[in-house]
This record gives sequence, C-alpha cells and structure tokens, in this order.
Amino acid sequence: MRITQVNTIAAIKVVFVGLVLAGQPAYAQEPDPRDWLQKMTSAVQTANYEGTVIRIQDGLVDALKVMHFVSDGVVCEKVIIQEGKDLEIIRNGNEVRFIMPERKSVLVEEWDDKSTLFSTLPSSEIRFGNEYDVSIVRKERIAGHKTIMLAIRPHDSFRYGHRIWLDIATGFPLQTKLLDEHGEIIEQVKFADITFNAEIDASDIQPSIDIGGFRWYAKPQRTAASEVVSDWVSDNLPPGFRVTSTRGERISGSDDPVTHMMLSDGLASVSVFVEPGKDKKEAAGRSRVGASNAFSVASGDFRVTAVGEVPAATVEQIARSMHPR
Amino acid sequence: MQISAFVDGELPENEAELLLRRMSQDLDLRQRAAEYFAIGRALRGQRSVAGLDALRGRVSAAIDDKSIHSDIDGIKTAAGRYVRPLAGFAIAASVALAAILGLQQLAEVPGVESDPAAPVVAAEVEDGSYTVPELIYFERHNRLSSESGNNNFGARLVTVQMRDDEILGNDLEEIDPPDDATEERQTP
Repeated sequence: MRITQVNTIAAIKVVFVGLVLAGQPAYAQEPDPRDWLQKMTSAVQTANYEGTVIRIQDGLVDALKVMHFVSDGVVCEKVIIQEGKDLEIIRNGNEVRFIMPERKSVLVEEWDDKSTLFSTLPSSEIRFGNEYDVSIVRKERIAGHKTIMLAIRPHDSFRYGHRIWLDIATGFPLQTKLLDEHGEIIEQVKFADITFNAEIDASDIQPSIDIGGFRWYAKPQRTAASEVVSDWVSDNLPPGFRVTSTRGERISGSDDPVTHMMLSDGLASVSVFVEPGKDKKEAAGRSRVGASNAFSVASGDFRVTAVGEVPAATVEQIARSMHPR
Repeated sequence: MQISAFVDGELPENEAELLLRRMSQDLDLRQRAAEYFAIGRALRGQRSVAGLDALRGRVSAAIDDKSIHSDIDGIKTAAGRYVRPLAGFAIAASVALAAILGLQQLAEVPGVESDPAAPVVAAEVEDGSYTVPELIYFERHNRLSSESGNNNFGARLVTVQMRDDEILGNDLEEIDPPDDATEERQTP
C-alpha cells in the first residue's frame, strides 16, 4: 500500500515539475539549466554503465567499482568497495544483498525506494523556490567526456550548494561537489572512468567470490510506518523548509513509537524525530556522519532529533524550534 | 607534491583527472592523499576525525573478542543513561560513544592506523552532557528521504557500512540461503 502511495506521489511530482517546466520561456540559444536537471533525472534512472567512482570526503578517499543496468524496469546494481573491509553490494530490484567476506555473511534487505546507489541529487522533485539559484557555469572534460557544469547556489547559509558536471551526450552526472556555507567542499564524487551502454547482464552482477558456506541474515519484519497527525510544530523553521510527511514508526530496539517528520526546502531534506524520553531530557548534543548533521535536544519529556544534509546550525535551529502545539 | 597540490585545489583540471584515475587503481596513493587531507585539516586547526575512525576500526575488528563488550559496557555505565537497550545498533552506538570519549587520548597515540573505509563519525557534546544523536537516526533519515526520491550518496554509503556492525547484533534473524544462492553454489 505504501509503495503505491509513494509511486503516486512521485508521479504527481513529475507531472508538477513538467507543468512548471512547460511554463518556462524557451530560449533556443540559452538552454535552461533546469532542462539539464530534467535530463539528468532521466539519465540517472535509465542509463546502463560501469565504471570507477572516487569519493573524497573529510580527507578520506574511497574508490568503488560499480555496474548498473536496468532490465524491464528493474534496477540491477553491483558495487564493490575497493579498500578497507571487503564488501560487495548487489541489488536486484528491491532486494539488496550485502556480502561481507570477512564475516562469511550475507545480509538481505528490502529497499522499497526507487533511488539508485549513485544518484547524488533528488531523482524526482527538484523544486527551487527562493532558496536557490541554478545556472550553467562552463563546459569541461570529465572522465574523458564533455560535460556542462551546473551550479546550484543557496541564498543563505541554511543549506548546502551543489556543483554538477553533466555528460553533454547523456545528461548523466559524472562529477558532483557539495559545498558548505563557506564554499568549502564537503564531498566530491567523481567517476574516474565510466562506460555507458556497457554490455552487462544478470550474470555480471553475481558475487565475485564464492559465498558457499556463508551465513545468511535478514531483518525481521517490523511494524510498518504509517502516516500520522502530529501535535508537534515549529514556529521558527529556516526559510523555505516545510513538512512534507509525518509518520509514526518504531526504531530498532525501542518500545516507544517515534514520530518522524520529513522537512524539505525542495532540494535538501531534514528528518525530525520526536520520541518519549524522560531519561534524556537534560541532554543536548550534535553529531555528523559524512555530509549529514544531527542535533538532539530535550523538549519536556520528549527528545527531539533533527538530521539532514544541511549545515549543523540548520538542524540545531529546527530541533530547538519544535514544540507541542 | 602532486597530491599536495591536488589536496590544496591547485592542480590543473587535466592533471587532477589523471591523478584521480591513478587513485582509482592505487590504494597507497589514496592513503597518501588521505594523509595530506588530514595534515591540511590540522594546519587549518580543524578537528581531526582520523582518530575516531581508527578507534571505530579497532573496536569493530576486536568485536569478536567478548572482552570488548565489557569495555563498552564500562563506558556505558560511566556515561550513565546514554545508551538505550538498542539491539542491532547497540554496537554502532556504543562505538560512537567510545569514539567520543576516546578522541582526545587516541589523537595522541602514535602508530594507530585509520580505517579509510570506516564512515566518518564526528561528534561532540555540549554543556558537559553526553547525549549524541545516534547513528540510527541517520539511517532512518536516509531511508525515508530515499523513498521520497531524495538521496545522498554519502549517507547511503554510511548506511551500507553500518551493516557491518549490525550483523553483530541481535536484531537480525538467520535465514536459509535463497534458492538462487544454492543454485549458484552448485554451478561450477
């Protein structure tokens, strides 16, 4: 049921974006950068490719081998982490298998989202209001391909900026940079090499190693999340952010239901979790994972946590601004 | 020298291109680049996270040794009420907490190698309190934002790497290998 709802919402969003774009004036000589973003959206969802991705973040450099193809509308992917602990991730439609050779284990999960492992921007709705400008900057060569560089610049310090290099031929993003409020690069993802329309089939996304004798694990089914009406509101959200969904769910290990609100400014998203927590009411603190920041604060007998790919000050303002109606 | 220029953003685009290609094939080169990035952060006075990664890697590697659990429990006790009775994510949360408590000491321990594949986890507390948002919130945010069409590559990768901790927990059930895996084994 939930998948159907998500697909319906996604379809509405696509139609909405299409209508908005249809309303844009057409300049034959000056292509609208939003046309390129539409092209990127399509390319990410339909392109078949294999290549090597370099990710630089916080001074750490990761390399990943990736194969991706779509067969009869089913996304198939294989990712091999090139260093550190051995790890292969194989996705066949909604089923994702994490193969961990060192533990001789395979973890099976269902991902009911439609994103790919390597899309670095929203793949459906990109709604730029007053919070961002988008522009074409210049042309460059990336991974041997001619690209056009787009800049998505925020108007304030509540959100990150993006630079995207799109393959001119396909619209596929070959390089992305995420910039903080000071213009410093937070994360850079770049294809060192890529081959489009590579001949990949199901046999290519089999495990690279013999997994005979491995132990297989799965997560037990949890109570499904459901849409709820929350009494929690904010009267001081950063400009442009609005609540897009509110769900009740249970987080692993907790007996208490958690209210999970999703906020978006059209590009960046922030989750707000509200949970009972008398034993945590004195606490406040922040943490960071990659480009994502989180801030927790007590509000009465509840604990409010905001998490998102936005600056630390943004999640802090959001978390501190939440209160019961 | 070329890596240094690259890290400083001063390498011409074509040379950076070649260097990235070499990095994709060369683990040593990637590690050297990571070291330069760490040096750059230190020079700029930024908080280093290499120690956090190193500690996380150490704890994760030693996790099969049951004695580590008592160490973590000790930290939990010292920290008071921070750790809920999480199941699968108990390890991840505990490691994050251990990293916080151990950051200062670890930064001064020579010879500790970082784990470049470990997710970057930086955390701090304010006003002497101890609660830090747990990793599971990042995972839940990433999952829901992906379902609605948004995605963040870094967050997704972190989610993936967290699975390595998760498999140690009690929140998973062991299952029989699916038929296709059995067929794979039988195929020479």
